[in-house]
Amino acid sequence: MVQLSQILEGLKGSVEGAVLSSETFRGQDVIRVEASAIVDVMTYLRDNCSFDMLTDLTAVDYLGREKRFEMVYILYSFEHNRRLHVKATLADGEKIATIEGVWKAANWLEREVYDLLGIHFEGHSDLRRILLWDGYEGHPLRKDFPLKGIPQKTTYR
Amino acid sequence: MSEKRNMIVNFGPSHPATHGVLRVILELDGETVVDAIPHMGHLHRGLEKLAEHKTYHQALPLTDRMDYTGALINNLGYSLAVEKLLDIEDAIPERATVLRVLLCELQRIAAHLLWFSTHALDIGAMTVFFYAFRDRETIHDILEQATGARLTPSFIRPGGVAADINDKFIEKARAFVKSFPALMDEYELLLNKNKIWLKRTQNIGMMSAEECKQYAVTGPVLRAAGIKWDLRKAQPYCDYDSYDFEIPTGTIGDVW
Amino acid sequence: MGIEQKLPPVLATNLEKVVGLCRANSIWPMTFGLACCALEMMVASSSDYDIARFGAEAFRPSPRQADMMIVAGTVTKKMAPMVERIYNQISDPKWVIAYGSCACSGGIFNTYGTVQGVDEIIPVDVYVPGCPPRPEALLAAIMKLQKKIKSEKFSDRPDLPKVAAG
Repeated sequence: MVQLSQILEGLKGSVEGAVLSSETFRGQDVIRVEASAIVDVMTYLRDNCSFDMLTDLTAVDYLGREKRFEMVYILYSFEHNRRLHVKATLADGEKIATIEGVWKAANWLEREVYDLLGIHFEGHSDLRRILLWDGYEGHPLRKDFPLKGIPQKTTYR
Repeated sequence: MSEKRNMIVNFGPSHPATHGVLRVILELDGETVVDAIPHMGHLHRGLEKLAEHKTYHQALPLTDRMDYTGALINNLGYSLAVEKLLDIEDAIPERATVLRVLLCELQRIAAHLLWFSTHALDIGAMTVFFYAFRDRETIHDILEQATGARLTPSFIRPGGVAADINDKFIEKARAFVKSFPALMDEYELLLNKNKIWLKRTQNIGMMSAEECKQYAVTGPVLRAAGIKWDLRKAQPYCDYDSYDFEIPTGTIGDVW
Repeated sequence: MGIEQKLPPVLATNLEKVVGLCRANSIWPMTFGLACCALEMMVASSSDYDIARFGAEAFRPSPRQADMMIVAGTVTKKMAPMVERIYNQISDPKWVIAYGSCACSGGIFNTYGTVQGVDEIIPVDVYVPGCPPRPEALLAAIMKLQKKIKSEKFSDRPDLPKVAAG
């Protein structure tokens, strides 16, 4: 079993200035990192800490904060049987690099985040809406989007 | 003149073989699918957004409808998460934990019967559907005895389960468990010598263990690719570590 | 749209009952499962509930061969245009059963993604509430629909051109 402190140490050594803080909540390890270093962090975690699967990739909208979006990456390591949560904050309109090159599973998950929260992923090979149709206005999971939706100009064909 | 071109076929969104709504734009070279562009979201009902507007207890019925083939299992996942968040995991009565496992495993068999029978139905073996649904109904009878609902029980709740079981449930469940191994042989007989079914599943859609990890595919697909991994063993919840069961694995990860 | 237009009106009044009886007992539903309720629709066609007793077991994948559409499940805004289009592709006479709370009224999903009842886009003959309704409820709905079909008069169908008297 790799300790969180070991992962942090290695990460601090190889990706400079990326780690902001870390915590353990209810047995879940969370690392907060700089959004601009996300690809380097993920590549390091995959290659050196054997986190070989991206279980989930999602985002949360904390409306009212200065940096309102928080990206959440949940990783799993088969070898060590442990999970790791990596978080990074983004301001409205700020872009983050895609981690499609690290795990292919990120492709659709990033599309979903783009669709529902409107976060742009730089370098994504196919950034289209996945659940709603092209031409849909607004991003439903944003906290300022009304539950019952807004009238749409285009319908799905 | 006769330049070879692949055929583009639109599959869905309403198609008898999709079971639910999915649209795939397929590029075919004869019988082989060369490329597929899936379009999803035809059943995007806004569950997450709806759940944001509800309390923890009110959001429970929504989890039934996320994967309606395994409603109780979704109830359990949600309840476990809420319990973890509230830090009341140790306060769950043991009887409730055992009941959860019982009900979820019954539901799991029912869900497996569903995919298994409809998948056979779609690739040309209809009889299995009737056999499997007969037994799925037996399970739903048992679940109804305990939970009061067939498909969407909302029975497993944060803190335990909604009610205790009765003697009838125990009686019915015992009888079913006793009869099920023989029924499995029946299904095997129906399919294992069915040439069409074999031809359409063997060495089709193969996925290696490495690909599974890249695409974050778990469950039966990962086990079929040869990795002995089951969440119930790897990170046991609901005291699954006190149960004795084996993880079946495959070798090449094809459909069969 | 059919035999009634080719016949003289005197005969047609007597024929109405015969045609109604035939139509009522051989409703061919179109497979149109959208969500949870589709499972119960499948159960209704399996051996335990045996929808064939009501002559409605011939589920057709093509709208051109069907008489009735069972809208089983939530109609989302993304799916709505297809529902409408498939309904239009079914040849007359045609009937619709809205199976389940979502198809009736949107059910618990009053959100940005769902249509609040399929009757916003197509006419519905029988509503079956429940989340999901039991398979028996579908059979009851089919019986109710049969009753309706049997009592239908050719002149009731607004889509027909009026047959000249005499």
